[in-house]
Amino acid sequence: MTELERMIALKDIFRLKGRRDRALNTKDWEIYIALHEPENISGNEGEKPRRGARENAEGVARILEGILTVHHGHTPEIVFESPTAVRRVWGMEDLLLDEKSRRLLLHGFGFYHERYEKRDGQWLFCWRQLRRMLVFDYR
Amino acid sequence: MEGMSDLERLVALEEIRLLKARRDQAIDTKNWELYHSLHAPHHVSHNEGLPRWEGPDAMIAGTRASLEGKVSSHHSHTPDITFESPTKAKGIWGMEDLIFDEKTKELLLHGFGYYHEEYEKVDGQWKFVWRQLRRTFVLTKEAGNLPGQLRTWSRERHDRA
Repeated sequence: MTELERMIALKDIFRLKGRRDRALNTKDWEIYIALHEPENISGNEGEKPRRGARENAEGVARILEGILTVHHGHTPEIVFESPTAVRRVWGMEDLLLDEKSRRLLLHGFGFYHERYEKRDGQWLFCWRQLRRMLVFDYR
Repeated sequence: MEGMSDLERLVALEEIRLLKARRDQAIDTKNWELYHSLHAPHHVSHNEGLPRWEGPDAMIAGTRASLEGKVSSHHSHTPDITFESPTKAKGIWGMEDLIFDEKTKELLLHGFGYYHEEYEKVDGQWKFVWRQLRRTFVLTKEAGNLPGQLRTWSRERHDRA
């Protein structure tokens, strides 16, 4: 990989991450699914990992029924496994809010460990695991 | 993007990130001269719940008035930036802001949403030409749903239990 190719991959994955957070926060599940490989694996602590991009989106949509979210990703580390496979670790913060009562339900902090692959010229999520540092649970 | 090399696109992305950082810094430090210089003369700001501000002067007058006696903190995250041409781009940024009372230091508002923006390169400099804040949600002192207020509430409830 040339330096320029690395920079382009960094930027493309950065944008992929931003689009994923926005699709989640605006509940645009079609975009959310399109950003993941069909066989993507996604896991949160205390839950069984969800296999499949569509199955994952459906599971997340169920959990977030009646709930608004904010997910922010910060200052990613990066490891290139190959020109088409990358791992990143992102600092993260999330808030969950009850849509009706406008009560804050949860304010959490942690790290997203993620892996991406480039398929047909597009970077896509193929694995994600959230590791929590701290959660304020107001429920 | 046609008419743009990979390197030119990377340079433009960094310049737009810097423009955004300066804007957030200018508003939080109330440096209105810097704030003005980051916007093109034909810039339009149209934030939810606020009037449409045509031109940097109207925007700064409106922004100054809304932040009178207040301290703000604006953070922007993970932009989705696309180019329409080598001199025109659009960006969507995750955002979070906190507004404090300048005297009492009390938190008044903790808000979240997305900034939808457009930029143009004018005389070699990227400038803002359009901005719209679309909120996902806002916690306020008035509504009693700020994290600090809730933490107290949550602890009291826990103590009683």
